[in-house]
Amino acid sequence: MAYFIVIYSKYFITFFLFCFLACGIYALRYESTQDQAAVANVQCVFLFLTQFSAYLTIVIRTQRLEYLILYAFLQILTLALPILENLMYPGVSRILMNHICMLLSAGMIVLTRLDINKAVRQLAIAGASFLIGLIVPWVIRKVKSLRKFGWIYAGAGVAALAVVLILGQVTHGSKISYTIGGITFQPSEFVKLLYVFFLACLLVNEPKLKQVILAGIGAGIHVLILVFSKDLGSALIYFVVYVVMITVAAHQAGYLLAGAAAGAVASWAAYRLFSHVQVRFQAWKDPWSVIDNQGYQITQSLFAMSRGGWFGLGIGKGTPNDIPYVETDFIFSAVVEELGLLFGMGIIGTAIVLFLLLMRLAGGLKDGFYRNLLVGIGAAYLFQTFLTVGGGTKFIPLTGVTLPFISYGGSSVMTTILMFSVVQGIYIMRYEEELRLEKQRRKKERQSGKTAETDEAQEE
Amino acid sequence: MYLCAGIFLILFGGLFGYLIRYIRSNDEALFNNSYNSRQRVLAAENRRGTIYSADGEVLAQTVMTEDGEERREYPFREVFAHVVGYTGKGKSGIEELENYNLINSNIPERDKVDNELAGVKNPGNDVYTTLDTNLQQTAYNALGAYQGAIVVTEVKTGRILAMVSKPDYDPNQIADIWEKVSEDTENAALINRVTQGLYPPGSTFKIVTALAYIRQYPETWSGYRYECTGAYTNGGSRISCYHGTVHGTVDFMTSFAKSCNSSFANIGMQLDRAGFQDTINGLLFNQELPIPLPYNQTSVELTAESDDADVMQTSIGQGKTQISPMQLNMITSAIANEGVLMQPILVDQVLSAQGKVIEENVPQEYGRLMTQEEAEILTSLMEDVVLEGTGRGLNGQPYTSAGKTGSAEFNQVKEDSHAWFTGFAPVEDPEIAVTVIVERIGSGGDYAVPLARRIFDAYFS
Repeated sequence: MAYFIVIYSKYFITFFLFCFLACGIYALRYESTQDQAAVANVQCVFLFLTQFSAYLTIVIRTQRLEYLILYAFLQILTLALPILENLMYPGVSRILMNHICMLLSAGMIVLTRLDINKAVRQLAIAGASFLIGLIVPWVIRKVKSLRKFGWIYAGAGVAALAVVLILGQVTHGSKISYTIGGITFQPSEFVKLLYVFFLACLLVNEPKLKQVILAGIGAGIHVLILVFSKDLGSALIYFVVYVVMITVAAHQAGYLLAGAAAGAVASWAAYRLFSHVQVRFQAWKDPWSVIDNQGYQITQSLFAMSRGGWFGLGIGKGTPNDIPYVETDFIFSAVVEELGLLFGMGIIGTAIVLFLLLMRLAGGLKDGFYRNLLVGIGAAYLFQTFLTVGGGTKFIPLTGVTLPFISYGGSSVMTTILMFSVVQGIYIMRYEEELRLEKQRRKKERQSGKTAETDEAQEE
Repeated sequence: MYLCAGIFLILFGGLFGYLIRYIRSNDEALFNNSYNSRQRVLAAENRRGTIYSADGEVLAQTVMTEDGEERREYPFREVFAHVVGYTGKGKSGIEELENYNLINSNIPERDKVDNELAGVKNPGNDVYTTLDTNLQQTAYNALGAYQGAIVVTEVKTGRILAMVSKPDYDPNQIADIWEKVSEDTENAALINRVTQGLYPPGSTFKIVTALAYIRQYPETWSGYRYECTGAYTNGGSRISCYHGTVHGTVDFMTSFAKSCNSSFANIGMQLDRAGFQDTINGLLFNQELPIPLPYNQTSVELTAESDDADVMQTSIGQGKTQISPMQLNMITSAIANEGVLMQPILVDQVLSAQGKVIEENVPQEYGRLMTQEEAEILTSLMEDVVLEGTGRGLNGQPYTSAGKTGSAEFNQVKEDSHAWFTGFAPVEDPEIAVTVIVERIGSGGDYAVPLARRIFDAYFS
């Protein structure tokens, strides 16, 4: 039996993931959380099967108790959380929850295998983030004036980024983090949430050119500070989020073209101005010629993927730790090495479905503020996924951002979970709105039914 | 919104396409890169496979020493040194060529888990080469203490039967002798002279010049006449026959059979230079060769603008022309195989330790180098060399053979020349092509032909 599991688990894991993905795609048909419920239950089974088969393999191979305990905690988190959320907010989207848990689990599986201490820490932070995230829907429901603080969000965000620029620690040539009380923060992650809120406020109600320019000035300040901190990946994400949000909010495809043109000019300028951009570009164009230096990471990542092939070497059978910073920038290559490209593409597919769920929800909303929030969060999430996976696989130059939900990193995991708690809050709002409308309709029906009855009675 | 979502989907579509293409093209080059740790991991999991000759002898295998360490053993020692290669100080030969297969194990996954639990290594895949121990040993002994190279191929399949290069080394001792051997650039024992050695072709190049002439004078070449006085002079340049021999009146066949330099300089001068260049390049000079081992590209510096002196030199295989024994053998094989060159192969099959076929090299055509008629004419020219020319040492054997000798001068001392022979047998239905070079010894007829005969004898006995 143990044989069977060790040899074939990688195929099963991939198979379960694809079943999960199929459920997710099917669920895209439904807009409301009630309609999703049946699919969500089936999908949940595949989530657990994926987790179970992966951790079973790890436990059999390592024969060590701590892995079993870690698995138990992961199960508790992914089981208890939806139940807790459901109790607190009946309108919560279980499908959304499933996707988040699947992505987190995929990250946990790889992290467990790379470094169990990091996996434990990641799980703890994810758990804490979910608990904090539980109050987000409540805040969204209660604080109706969230949409009025536009420039306050921007001010706070810019201040946080500026602090890093001035006081931050330099890691790998970029200033991206600072430490308070022993805990290191990466503000460009947290500020992303404020930034989306800021843009959502300014771009509400079919924004005219004036609002777009105003928002652009605010966005521009964010982006410039990030560029000066040499955090180009984040700068690019902030920029793309702005372009997507103005395009969608103003229904103007022209903005997208203008944004693309501006992006091209800015990239060219960045290439001419910054030597580290040139180095990155060179390492992308021909990493083999600089394999000892700038090309080392990316070539190791390419090796790792080539070792993996379609189905991977199996958990614990590869050497993903050869890649420097594998747990952050190159986690996708580690996934492909041990679980295979099919699994890796399944994970990207899960991320895309998650994005489409947001777009589906946004499409049915009348409130521009919430719609903006969903578009901004969706764009930030999916574009970051694209940058990391594309950069780590040499599809595009490397920018050095994390893979949301999957990469190791407290700031990244917490921000992403909080962003999706906002989404959950909007699902819940929408559900309660529907419930209210339903009640009103029933009430009206009942009333009109009564009058009809009395009419009949009178006729007799 | 749909527009933005659509663009995101297109981006990811591109990424997926790229990833799928990457994994599909994921080739052995990546695997063999020394920066890739995969080899190290596999070496810890698997025991390197065995290399066999076509007649079932072990050419290389991994054995355990008394103190429980792995050692690569080469039972034939120096005999297969270059072609089978070594592993330890880097890799060469088939050890390098088939590294991916040797280090991987395609036994069932179940057995691998068993082995892992038992703490035993998996047996790697075995490589079955085209090499014949008898021919290889014969060629090795024939070359004796001389420096040089011999290669033997099957003309109808491209299978390489023997490949010897001297000076040699003992691959069993590679770790100990490494410093000495790798620093000795004079002897360059690590170089496989068959594929990497570049020599002036000498008179063997007259095959090329003859082909160009036949192509340019299809109606009249057989009526060619020339009065040899022992030398050919044109302007300030002069070409002499080997040892100043005066050949008298020669026709085309005799010019080739007697290897008359003066006549061939005359032939070369009558050639259209652009056409000559086309014929040269059509025989794979100045370009990449379909050889499985590392090789050096051969070169002929002749263009439509070359001056007379260069053309005269080139026509008789001197000047700046350089050729490897392997390429000369390929040209010879194509002549023997009615003009068609077969892709040279060194490995027939790769089998898992349990006999499952992992890879199989089926003989395939590389391409046509000349028409069947041209091949027939060259065959009859080369047959004459054996019957009444410089290759008479092969005459009167139980088998018929055809070939061309060469005495390549590599410096100004006339007596100092490399001895060449390239040829095939039997003429009626050619089976093998043999190419021999013996460095700094004298004429091809005297020194290379007898070596070729020993190989033909061994093959046909």
